[in-house]
Amino acid sequence: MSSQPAASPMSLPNYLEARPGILSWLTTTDHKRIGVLYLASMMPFFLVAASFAVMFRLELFSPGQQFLTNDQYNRLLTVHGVVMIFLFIIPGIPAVFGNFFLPIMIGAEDVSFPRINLMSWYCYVSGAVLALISVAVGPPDTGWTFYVPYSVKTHPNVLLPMAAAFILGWSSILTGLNFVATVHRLRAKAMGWFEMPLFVWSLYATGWVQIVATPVVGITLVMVLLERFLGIPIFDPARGGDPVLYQHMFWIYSHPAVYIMVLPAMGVVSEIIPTFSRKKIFGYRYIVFSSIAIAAIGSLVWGHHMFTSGMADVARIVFSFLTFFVAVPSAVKVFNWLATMYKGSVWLAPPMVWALMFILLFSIGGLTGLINASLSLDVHLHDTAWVVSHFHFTMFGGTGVIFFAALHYWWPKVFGKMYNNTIAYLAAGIFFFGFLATYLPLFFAGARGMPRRYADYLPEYEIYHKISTIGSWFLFASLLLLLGNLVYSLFKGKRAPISPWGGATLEWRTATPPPTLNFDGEPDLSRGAYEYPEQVDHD
Amino acid sequence: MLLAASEITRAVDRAFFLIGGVSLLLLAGITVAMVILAVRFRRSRVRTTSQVGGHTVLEITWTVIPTIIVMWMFYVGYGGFALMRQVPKNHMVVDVTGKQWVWSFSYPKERIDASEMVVPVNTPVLVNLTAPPEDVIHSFFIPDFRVKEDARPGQASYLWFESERMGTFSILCAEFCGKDHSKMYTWLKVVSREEYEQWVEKQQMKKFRPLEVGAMMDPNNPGFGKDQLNIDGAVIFGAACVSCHGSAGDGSGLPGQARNMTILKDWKRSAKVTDIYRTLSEGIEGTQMRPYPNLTPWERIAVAHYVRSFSKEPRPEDTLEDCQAMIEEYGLDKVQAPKQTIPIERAMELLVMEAGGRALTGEDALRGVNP
Ligand code: HEC
Ligand code: HEM
Ligand SMILES: [Cu+2]
Repeated sequence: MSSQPAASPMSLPNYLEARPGILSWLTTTDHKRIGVLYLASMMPFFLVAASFAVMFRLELFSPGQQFLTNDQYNRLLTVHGVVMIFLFIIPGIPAVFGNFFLPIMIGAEDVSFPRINLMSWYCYVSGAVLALISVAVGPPDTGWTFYVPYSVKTHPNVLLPMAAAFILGWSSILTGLNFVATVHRLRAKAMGWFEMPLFVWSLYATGWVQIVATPVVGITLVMVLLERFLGIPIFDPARGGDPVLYQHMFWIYSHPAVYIMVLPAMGVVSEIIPTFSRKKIFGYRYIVFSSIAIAAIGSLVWGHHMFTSGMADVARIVFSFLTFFVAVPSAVKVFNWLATMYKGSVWLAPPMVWALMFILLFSIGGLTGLINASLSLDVHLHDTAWVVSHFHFTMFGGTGVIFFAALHYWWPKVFGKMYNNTIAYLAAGIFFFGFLATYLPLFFAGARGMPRRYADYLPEYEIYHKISTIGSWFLFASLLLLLGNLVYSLFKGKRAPISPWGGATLEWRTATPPPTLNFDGEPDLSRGAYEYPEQVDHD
Repeated sequence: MLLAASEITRAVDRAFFLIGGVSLLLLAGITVAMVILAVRFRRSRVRTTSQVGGHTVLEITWTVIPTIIVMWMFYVGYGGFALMRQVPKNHMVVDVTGKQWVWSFSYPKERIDASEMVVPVNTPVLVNLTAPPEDVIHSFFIPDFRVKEDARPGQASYLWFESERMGTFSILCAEFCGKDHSKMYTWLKVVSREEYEQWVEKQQMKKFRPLEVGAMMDPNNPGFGKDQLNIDGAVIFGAACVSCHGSAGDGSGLPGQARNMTILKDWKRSAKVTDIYRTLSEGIEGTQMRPYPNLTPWERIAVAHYVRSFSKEPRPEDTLEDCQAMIEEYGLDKVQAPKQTIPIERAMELLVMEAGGRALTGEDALRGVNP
């Protein structure tokens, strides 16, 4: 193939049209189709979990019981958290955009193990189906953390959601494994490690965390099930177990998991900002090392979730100390992104607007994280609405926002259609307003002592809850608008060009949408991932 | 929030404003920089870029400075924490138990149990936390004092606070514990020392004078003394009465002489608690049923309840007047709880528990066997 003159980009059928029929999709091993499958199966869950949040926020509009009993509240809250974490935010960016773009960005035809890749999607779907069944037979009410001994005692069915989380863990491990292998084995020969796009680097670092940390949660969940169904005492104090051990094991995974959530998002930011500033990324190597540092230090700080759970005081102090160091590489990234804009030519297209919104919201999340990491402050703030706000700023304002940024950035490439810009801006604007209105008040409520996971509250917190509930309506509306705009473009959108934003990474130099094996001929590696001419050659 | 109610509160708030203030400054810096960059270098204005890819000195600067800042934050946060974990010597103690979904308080030194928490102002209070082994994790949280610690089933933990202000503060459960997690709150009353002492006295009276409340003398509840007085009538009966009355109360110990308590018709006095109390206080003259001055009033009440449980016949009820008459006659309203002492059987219970065994009751306790 490579000996022939390069065919015109449109000569090969694109991956969407290559093989028609539902069955061809369900048995596909094309990493791009698998990415799309992930996207299609993920969005309904996201919307359902978001609407659950709107429902229980409505219950919190006023003190006293409105229309949800305590029990219903707890269950909606748990399903909201479980779905958002395990079905949306952990798999989100790697499974959808990583699958689709990682091979393209390193000039590969597919991932190393395409069939395992398909299997990971089936794991995802089975986990999701189990979660659905559990909702149907009686949703869990434990909170997404499944803390023992409550989770081994409570009546509602916890077997199913735990089994679901277990299987979803497999999906995550398989994806991580595939990415690590692909980066090592299938990277174009001409592309050195430090020439890889930063999104690839971040997925690579994430892949290792997924492989190393995820088994721990699997093991933990199995232990809980052994305890609950075979009566083997491990965590239950009534039978001589130790509930704090569970918390350690849970957070040994789940803290690194927040980096599984956020590292890929940071990678996306490192793509979007150079593209829309038409500038070489500032401090490439520092961004790479900061990703690795986050992945490494992030594995040593889980105890900051347990400052009041009865750990030894020395352990609390050490964990607090270490936690502060995770903030440094994240700050380094923010500074490098900002520096990238300096002397660039900034185009505030929708993806860039989302990326800048990320910097703002994620900074709020990160800085409030510093407050949480301070021992004496966390004692007060732990398990209050403050923490709820903090983690929505990091996960939703961070990873969630970048998921939307990535959707707007790569949508034209994935589906070959342009969406309506005006509506995209409008949705982003409403989102921003709704987001701040929903979560800022929770900082105040939490600082005043409003605990989290409360189906009801004392009247003194009413004002914060009122604002927050109203905010959630805007937030939800913006999500519908945003997704509606994208879906509409599939039918009515203009055809997208090869490179609507003028990006320099490889995906912008293959057809839109790309052909099944990604490139028509050999990928063109003559231009670096962040190489732009001094004169702007793109509008 | 924001009422400086204690030294810890002040330390935490100070750290909050310091760290929060610096964070806000950083946030403002980032935001302003972002807006300026986006406006100053917007595409409609800038068409010629400068492709600089990095700057080592800058990178080192913005790595080192944040490192210093966060170390300082750690130090500030640590300061308040050290204070939280060092309980002053002159503290009082309250044992707090979290159960789904109530907090209960007991004052080991004052020997009282309460459903509300009352402490004197300007006194360090050590709160020992736990939850029953078969319960779940709770977290004891007093927002106004900025303290929180989990109460774990079957394990011990602690926190302390000292209030400089009198008033009522909320106590909340901060660890999700099931259906009524959000209802698991109660109030902490910080009062003057005098008021506190009055409260303690009242609690003790309540505990040791259950006769005031006629309704509490439930004939169907032979365990009455155990629950309400913390005294097990069965233990006393086992120690002092079985030799004559038999362990089933049928008089088999001293056949034909001691009263068969399963039948009520031959009694000289009635089977009202107040009448049994009289028998125990005065004895029955001319018989072997002697008075028991060595039993404390509340022990007599406990064993009286136990005695009543032997018979399945309908038992005569004490009226409120009966109770009042007895309180007056024996001066029960003036009886003080014995300070610093506990009933023998309670002491035995505690000893056995400390030794790691299950608390013994009834005859087991007397025989001292550990099942
Ligand atoms: C030394 C033997 C003995 C012991 C020990 C003893 N009793 Fe008696 N008790 C008697 C005898 C004898 C009578 C019946 C007296 C009579 O004939 O009127 C009696 C009667 C009674 C009665 C019935 C009173 C009535 O109104 O007729 C009660 C109640 C009673 N005892 C309670 C107790 C309790 C409680 C204890 C333990 C604290 C106790 N006794 C210990 C021998 C004993
Ligand atoms: C419409 C958008 C959303 C709204 C209005 C919303 C609102 C809330 C609120 C108010 C709570 C706390 C309730 C309580 O403590 O009683 C909560 C919990 C939670 N949310 Fe969201 N949220 C939204 C989206 C998201 C997203 C996108 C994520 C994931 C990134 C997420 C993850 C979580 C998690 C993990 C919890 C904790 C559940 C638990 O305590 O077990 N939420 N949400
Ligand atoms: Cu964490």
